[in-house]
Amino acid sequence: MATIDQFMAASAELTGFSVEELRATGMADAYWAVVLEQAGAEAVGRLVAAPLGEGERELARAVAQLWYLGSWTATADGRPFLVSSAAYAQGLVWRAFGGQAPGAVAQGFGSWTAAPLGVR
Amino acid sequence: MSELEGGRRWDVIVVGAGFAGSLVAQKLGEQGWRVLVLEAGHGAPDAGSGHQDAVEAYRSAMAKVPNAPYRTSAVAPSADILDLSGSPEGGYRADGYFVQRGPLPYASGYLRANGGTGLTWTGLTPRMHPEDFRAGDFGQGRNWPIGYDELEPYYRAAEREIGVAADAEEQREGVGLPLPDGYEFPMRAIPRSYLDQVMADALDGKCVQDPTEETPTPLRVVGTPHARNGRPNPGAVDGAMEGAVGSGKLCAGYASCVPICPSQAKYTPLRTQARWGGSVTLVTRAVVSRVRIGGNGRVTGVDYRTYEGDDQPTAVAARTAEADLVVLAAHAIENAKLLLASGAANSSDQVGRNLMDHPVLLTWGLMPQQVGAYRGPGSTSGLEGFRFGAARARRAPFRVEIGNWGWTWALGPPDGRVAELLRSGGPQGRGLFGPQLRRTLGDRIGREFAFQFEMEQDADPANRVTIDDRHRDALGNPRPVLHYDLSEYVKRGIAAAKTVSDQLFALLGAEDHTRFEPGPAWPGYFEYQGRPYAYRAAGHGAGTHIMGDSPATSVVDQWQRCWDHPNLYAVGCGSMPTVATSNPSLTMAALALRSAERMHRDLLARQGVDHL
Repeated sequence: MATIDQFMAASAELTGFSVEELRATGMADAYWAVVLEQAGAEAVGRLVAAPLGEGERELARAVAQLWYLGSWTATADGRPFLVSSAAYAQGLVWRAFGGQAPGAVAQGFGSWTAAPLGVR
Repeated sequence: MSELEGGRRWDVIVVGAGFAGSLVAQKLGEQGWRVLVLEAGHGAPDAGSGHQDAVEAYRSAMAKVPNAPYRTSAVAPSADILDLSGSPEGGYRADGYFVQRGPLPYASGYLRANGGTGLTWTGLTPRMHPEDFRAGDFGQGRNWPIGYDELEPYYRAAEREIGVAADAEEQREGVGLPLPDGYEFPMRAIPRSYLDQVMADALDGKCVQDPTEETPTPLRVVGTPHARNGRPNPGAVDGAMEGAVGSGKLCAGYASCVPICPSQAKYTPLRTQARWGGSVTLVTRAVVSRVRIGGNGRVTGVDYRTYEGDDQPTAVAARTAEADLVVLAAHAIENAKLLLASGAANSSDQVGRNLMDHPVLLTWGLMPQQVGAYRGPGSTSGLEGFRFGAARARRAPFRVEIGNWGWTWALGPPDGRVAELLRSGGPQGRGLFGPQLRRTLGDRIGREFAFQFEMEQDADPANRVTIDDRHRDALGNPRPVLHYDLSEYVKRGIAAAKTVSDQLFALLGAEDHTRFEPGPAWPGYFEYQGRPYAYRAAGHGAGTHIMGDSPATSVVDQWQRCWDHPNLYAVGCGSMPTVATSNPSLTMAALALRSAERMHRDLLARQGVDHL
C-alpha cells in the first residue's frame, strides 16, 4: 500500500511544487485522505508508482487539480466538491503567480497599487 | 397620529430591508416615526457572527456566485445567476425563481435577505451625469421629472450616509460632473490598481474611433468613486464620516467585494441599520403578499406571512400590519410583483414595464506583462468618454470598467484554465504537469485582465415583469414572469463597444482572448449584423415602477409616490426612468433620502388631519 510520503513525492512531480512547498500549505493529510477515499488504495498505488504514466492519467489530473484548486474533480458517480475553505485559500494556482485566493487574505490597504511580485 | 392598541398600527411600514428600505427607515426613525420593516428573507440574530458565517460560507462554496455567502430560502426565493444556462445551438434555459419568456434572458440575480442585494454589491458609486436625466432629448428613452440639480444635494447626503471615497477634482475633470465649489468627498479616493496605471501609461492621451462618432474619442483612465473605506478626507465638511468607517475597517484588498468584504470595509445596508433608532422595528422572514387598499385609494397596510425553515415552509402564520404610510423597497422586480398582485398603482398600465438592467459586454485578454491580477477592488478605474454626447442618439452609451479580477466575470475563476491545461495542455495535448504546468499558469493568470462595458438599456415597455397564477413559489406567492430583450439601440452600442475594445487591445499590445459562442456559459449569446456577441448582466434591475411627470404615463411621481395612492411609495431602482451608465445604487440612495423628506412631510400633514 502506498504511503503519504510516496503520495507527496508524486504530488510534487505532478504539480511542479516541491514536497516542502506542498507541506507548507498544511493540506497534505487532508488531501491524502480525500485521494484514498475517492480513488481507492489500488489506483493510488499505481499512481505513485508512475505519476506521469499513462495508466492513471485521470487520477493524476485530479491530484494536480486538488493541489492547485483545493477541489476534487467531477467523476462518473460524483459531483465536484471543494475540500474546505482552507483548501480554497491554499490553492497553488494563486501561488503560481504570486497572488492570493480572493477573500482569503488581507493584503493591506493599497496593496493593489504595487507592481506584482513576479515583475519586481 | 392614529394608533391601535398593542402597537399593531404603525406610522410607516417599509417592505424590504435592503439599500433603499434601510435608508428610508433610518431617516423616518430619526424623526421619531414608528417604522415597521418587513424583510422576506433571513437575518442573522447577531450581525457579527452572521458576517463571520457568511465569510466562511463564501470561502467554502464551490461556485463563488453573488448569493453564495448568504442563507436563502425557497419560501422567499432569490434569483441566482446559476439559474440560467445557454443552449449549444443558441437560446437559453432558466431553471430558477424567474419564469423567463423573452427572446433573451434577464441575466441578473438578486438576494432576498436582511441587507438585500446591498450585501453582495460591488460598492462602486459613480453619480449619474446631468445629461443622463434627459435621455428623451436624445430621442432614446425618457426624461426624468427632476434634473441633476434637484438631486445634487441628495447625492452629497448619500455620499455622506454610505461613506464614499473619491477625488472631487478628478470627478469634475474626468467625468464632467458639476460638483459644487469646495465639495470634498468624505474619504480620499481609493488608490488605483497597478493595472490601471499600466493602462493609463498606454492609453492616456490616445484616441480611438467609435464607429458611431464623427471624431475620435480621447482616452483617459479615471478613478471610480467607491463606498468602501479609504483614508478620511480632512477637507470634507459637516460630519462627513457618518456612514463611513464606523462599523468597518480600511479596505484591506481581499479582492472579494462581490460577494462579500471580509473586513467590512464595503458599505452594506446593515451599517445603516446599526444606526436605526428605537422607533424602528425589523421583522425578518416576513413575506408581504399584498398591499391593502381602502375604498378611497389610500392604502391601509399590508398582508404578510411569517415562516420558519428554508426549503419547506413551516410555522407559516398569516398577519396584517396597518400604517399611515407604506413604502415598497423590495427590489425593482419584487416591487412590481407586489403592486401587480395587489392590483395597485397601475392606472397607467406601466407597472412592471420598462424593465432595464445594465447588459455588460466583456472582453478579456492577456497583457504583455504581469499586472497583479486578482488584487484589490474589482474595478478601480474606467474610461468615461463613451458615456455622453451626440452619439447617444444613435447607440447606447457605455461606461468602460477596467477589471482587476482577471477573467472571473467572463470565464469564471482560474479553475477552468487549470482544468483545461491538465486535460489538453502540453505538446501532445494530453495534459500539462510539473514545472511546465506551474510556469504556464504563473505566466498567464497574473497577466489576465478584462474590460467591462456597461451599456445603458433604454426603457422599453415590452420588457416587463408580469405575474401568472400558474407560477407560484413555495408560499403560494407569484413568481416573476419576465419578458426581456435587447433593442437595436443596445445592440448597436454593444457592437460599437466591441470596436472600441479591439482598438484598446491594439494600443495595449494585449493578446485578445475574447470569444463568444453559444453554449452553457453564455445564456446571453446573440448575433448582430453577422457577428457573435454575448452579454452578462450587472444586477442593476430598474424601471418597473417608472417615475414621471404624468399619472397617465408613469407609476410614481418625482417623490417615488404612487400616483394612484397618496400614501404608497415604491422606492428603489424601479423608479428610475433611465438606468444610464452609472452603477445605480448611489442614485437609488439619493432618491431614497429625498423621498424620506417628502414622507416625513406627508406624515406630518396626516397627523394634522387626524387631530382635526
